Amino acid sequence: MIPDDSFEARLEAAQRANAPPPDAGSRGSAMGMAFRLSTDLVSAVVVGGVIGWGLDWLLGTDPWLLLLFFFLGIAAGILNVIRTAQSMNAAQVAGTEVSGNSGDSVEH
Amino acid sequence: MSTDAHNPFSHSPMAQFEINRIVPMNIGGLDVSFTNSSLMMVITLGLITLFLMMSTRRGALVPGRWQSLAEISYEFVASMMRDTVGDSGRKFFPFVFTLFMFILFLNMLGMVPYSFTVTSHIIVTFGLAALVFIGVTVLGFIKHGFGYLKLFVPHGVPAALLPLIVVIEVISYLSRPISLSVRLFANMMAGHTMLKVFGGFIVMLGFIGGWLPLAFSVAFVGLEVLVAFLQAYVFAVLTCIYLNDALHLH
Repeated sequence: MIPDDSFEARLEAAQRANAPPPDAGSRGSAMGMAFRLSTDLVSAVVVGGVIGWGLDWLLGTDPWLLLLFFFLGIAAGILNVIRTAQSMNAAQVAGTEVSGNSGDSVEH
Repeated sequence: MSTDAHNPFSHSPMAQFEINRIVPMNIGGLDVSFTNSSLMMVITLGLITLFLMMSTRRGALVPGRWQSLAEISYEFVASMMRDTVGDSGRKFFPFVFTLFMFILFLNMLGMVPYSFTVTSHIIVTFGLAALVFIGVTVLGFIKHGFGYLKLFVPHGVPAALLPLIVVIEVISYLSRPISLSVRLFANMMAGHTMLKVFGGFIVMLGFIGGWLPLAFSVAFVGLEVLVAFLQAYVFAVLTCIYLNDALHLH
């Protein structure tokens, strides 16, 4: 009775009750990671499409350059995603080992 | 669309993103009115200046509450730059710190009810991203001359594939400002639209059924504060990565 009612025990119980779930922060940043990867992919496709459309408009080669640069944009998007994922992996590995400054280890 | 869009109590979830002219101005056919968006930016700049000036005014050896807050924000950006750019990036600290604080304060002030979220407009985030992109590109050319173009030519690629790879690399490089701006804008706009939609559900379902969306809204406000911070951080960290690419060619 008495040890359970002590201030320390009640404080500990209250702190345990108020503590955020352990994965709350990582879930937010996981969503951030997913969003980062998807915008990396989509933006390159959009840029490729716009370049192709612009060149078509300039040269009068109507659908062909748009089609070519659309697929090049997809390739560039996948390249973006691979690089971002590699840098995320590197950051995670560096985070678990030492949090020292490894200047040039970011991105490829 | 709806005529009562200017009413802050409007049910439309998009009404919160309306731009209103406060002081209409027109210079040479360009509409340069002072809008609610401009007002929020001025308030943000004022608050950041006030916060940093007041908190570092005394410069005590043992920092008080406000001074430690300012020191934490300095330390946060400084260590982020050390980790991503290294010591040669120290010259660019003022730029990255300003960018981070500006976006962070805009995002956080957008969480205040009845305020306006400037970063939920793509033209603002694209302006910031274009500033970073052009600045980094110019910096790369100043630092390396035309050797900066080697960025588009990866090592060990067979000559036959080179034209294809270079085009892909250029597209990938040009996509940076797009993904940088879309990420910030889409996060802020989606979050604030969701909040408004669920706020509307509370009113519509009333006292009987409104408790569930209310609970969801409360939780979602917490998540939105996290997103507001995270997106400012992501913008700053990507700026650092691009700076690193421009400073250290490989």
